[in-house]
Amino acid sequence: MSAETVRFWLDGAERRGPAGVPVGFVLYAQGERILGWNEATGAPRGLYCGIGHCFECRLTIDGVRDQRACLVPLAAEMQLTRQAPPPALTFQEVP
Amino acid sequence: MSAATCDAVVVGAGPAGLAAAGTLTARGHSVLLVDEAPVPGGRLRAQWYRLGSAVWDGRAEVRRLVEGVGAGATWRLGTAVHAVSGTSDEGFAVDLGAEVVRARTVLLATGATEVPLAMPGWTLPGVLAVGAAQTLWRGWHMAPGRRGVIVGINPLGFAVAQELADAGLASLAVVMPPPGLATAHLGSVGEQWDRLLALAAGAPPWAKPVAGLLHGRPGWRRAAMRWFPAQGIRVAGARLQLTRQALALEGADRVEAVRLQRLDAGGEPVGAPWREAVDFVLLAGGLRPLGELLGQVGAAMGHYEGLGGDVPLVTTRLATSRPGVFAAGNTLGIESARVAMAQGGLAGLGMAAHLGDEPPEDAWQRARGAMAAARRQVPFTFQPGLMQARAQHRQDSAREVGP
Amino acid sequence: MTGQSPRVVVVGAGVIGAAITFVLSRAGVPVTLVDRGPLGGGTSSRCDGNVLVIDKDPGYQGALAHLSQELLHAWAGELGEIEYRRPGSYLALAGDDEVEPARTWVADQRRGGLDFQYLEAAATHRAMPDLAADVPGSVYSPTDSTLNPLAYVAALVAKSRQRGAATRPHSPVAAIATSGGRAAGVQLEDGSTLAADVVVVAAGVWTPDLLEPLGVTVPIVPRRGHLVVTTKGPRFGDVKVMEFGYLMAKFGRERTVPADVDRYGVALVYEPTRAGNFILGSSREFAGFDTTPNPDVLRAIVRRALRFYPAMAEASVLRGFAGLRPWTPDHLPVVGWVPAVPGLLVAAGHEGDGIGLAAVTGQLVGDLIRQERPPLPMEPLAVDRFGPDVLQEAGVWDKTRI
Repeated sequence: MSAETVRFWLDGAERRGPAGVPVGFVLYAQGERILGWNEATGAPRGLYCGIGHCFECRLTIDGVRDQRACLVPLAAEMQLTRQAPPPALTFQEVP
Repeated sequence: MSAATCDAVVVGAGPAGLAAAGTLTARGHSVLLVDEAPVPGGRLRAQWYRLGSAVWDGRAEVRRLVEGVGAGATWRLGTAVHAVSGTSDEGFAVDLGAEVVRARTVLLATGATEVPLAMPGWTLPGVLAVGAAQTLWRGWHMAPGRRGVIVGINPLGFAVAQELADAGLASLAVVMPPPGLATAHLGSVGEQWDRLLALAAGAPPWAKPVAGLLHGRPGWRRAAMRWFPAQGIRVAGARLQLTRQALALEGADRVEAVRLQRLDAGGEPVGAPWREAVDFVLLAGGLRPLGELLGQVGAAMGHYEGLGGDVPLVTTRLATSRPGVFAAGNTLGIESARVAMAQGGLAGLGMAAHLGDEPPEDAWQRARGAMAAARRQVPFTFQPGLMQARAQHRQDSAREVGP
Repeated sequence: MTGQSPRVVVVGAGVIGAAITFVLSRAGVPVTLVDRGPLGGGTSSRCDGNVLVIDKDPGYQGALAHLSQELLHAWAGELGEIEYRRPGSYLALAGDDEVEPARTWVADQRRGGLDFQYLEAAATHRAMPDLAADVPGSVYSPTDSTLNPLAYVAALVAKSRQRGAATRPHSPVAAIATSGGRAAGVQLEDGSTLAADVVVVAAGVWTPDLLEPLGVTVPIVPRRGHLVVTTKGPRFGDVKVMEFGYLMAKFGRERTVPADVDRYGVALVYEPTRAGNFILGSSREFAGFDTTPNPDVLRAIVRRALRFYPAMAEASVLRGFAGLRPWTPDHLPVVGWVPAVPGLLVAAGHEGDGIGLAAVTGQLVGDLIRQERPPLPMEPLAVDRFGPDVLQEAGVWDKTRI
């Protein structure tokens, strides 16, 4: 690709990648397989369908939660943040 | 043109949506094109295969279609449609989240989605739907990995395997899915064979070895299975291993291995399972039409296995049971991109007619001719039973929504 | 009847039909479960997983619901992974004007033998730390439980099949067959007939259509409800929370709420699921059989949720859909023999309580068919309990509101 290389941030760490390519693909190609964790089980999740259907690649992008990484093109100075799984579900009976 | 009101909203900027938009703008109607993806073209963008000496280049087709849309359309890429409500008479309200657009007619050309092969370990990072690998490679020239397997047999899997082999990646093995999946019709060895037979019937270049092997003869399944080489045969640059079944995908934080099982001629397991190291896995469960918005607007639907699942019943002008709502492309059943384009052209005329701009008879004839030609040119059949399903769909549609 | 056990056909494979089939097959009764579509594809696939007594009127309705909870609790182990748990539920109050009605409600329920508690503000916010600070109190019911309704129906059907029950999805019933004035089976649209000694109509909102040709009228009317599903993301506690106003909406009482909330009968329902998503409800409208979701209603539901959980603004909506509750004029289901047609049973009209009342309904229908003594008096559920005025009014609704 002849796309312009731009600076972006993943979980606060500086990175560089091709502008205009969806961030999920950029991260996959850079070896970042894990894009998040299942909120119920904590199991790692990554790019899967690549066309916005499965919602497994959700990142917080520039402060907005639940953006599908496979649909959002990389732009200069973008802040990508993997969403930490919420505290483990207790599902305990209330006595 | 103001985006807040237009003649037509086209949902999905793939081959069907682009062709419809081009037809409408050519006749002077204002169109709003909406797609979730940041670039137009949908899955067509990632298509690339040889047809004899010619090449089908999806990107070039998309460029051509976008030019055809011209300046008469407003684009909303990277935008999801939240809801379509109202009626044609009062103007449909198409809710895009940040804005609501009014239009007298709407085309739902939302395409298809991949059927998940929900096998053990399928949620591990590094396990991709086969279409994602195609987009990675063809769309962005990124390889899915170095050593992988494709689970499940369908045309998309072979097309991707061919491309990755051409690119000099380590060869891929195509293995059978595990037994007992919720998507059961994909899980049985017999079904996979029927799928292969359907593929071989159309005999695209990469399917020649399979076609030669089977000739589509009934009763061959078991015999062929008995002498099928354990190491598989080469098809489309991949090693087709019909007597191997993937039982599970394994790994800690990403997929690292696939657990395999050898099958006998009857499809029964023989011997103990073993592990093979991989760094990616592609799941090829086939496609099914995506019809959430059709369901949401309350269009009459029917279920056709041969078309891939639930599809709207439509007139020959591709009008659904909801006046003003049209459908085209894979949302009407899994067929080729050429067919989707032809459907888009037809739906575009239908929408123009709905807007009071009845096209002349020769325009209809050209559109119907394009559809027939596209269906003749299909390089392979996506679904076993496509022809029968299409006929049944036509018959049900005529009864339920009219000619 | 043939031999010891009557052959039974159950029409309608929603949660009610599935529970009846489960009870009958467990008792060794030969039973066939028929549905015009997929198993569990109607109202039971468009609902939440509430198994509640907290929203029932004190007295018979509460007792019925409580018995159902106990039965389900006993079944749960056998049914496998249906995401069943018993976290209790809360009704949050929207304002000070609800405090006295809520206290009265708790007192009435306690007199009825149910262990309800009124929680003051401090205890309320300890139990639900994410609730808006101005919520003045809440009502707590410790026995309320929850499950995954799709998994529940699937498990009931799977267990029934293991015990020999037959299932016939995608087999629309054209008519209930009669012979000499009594039910003789069902005639399917494909022309075939399933012979039976007992026919149970458990077809939810579609029940009146099946009974009408026999001259039997039951006032069951579809009352549409919308639900919103969020992405898996931030959660707001693992207990089920509704607003006290849900009761007002359900029973059609006066509320002081925004116009769209009132118009669509919107009341907060918050249900965390095991998958990590949460479900938001609810709405109530008489809108015929149209299940096309109305974006205005979905928005009203989300706005109502934000009134109780301001931090939900950061959560994302995944989808919304609508289903049809089988409403009856007295908010009780219709469960019993049809007096005019021997061998014909009805089990329908559970409004929004089908998931919760399925177990007790299965038990009651099983008892009727096996001529055992039911654990509760069944007169309040009788098919012929509605007077001519009620039936006439239901008929009027048929024409003007549907």
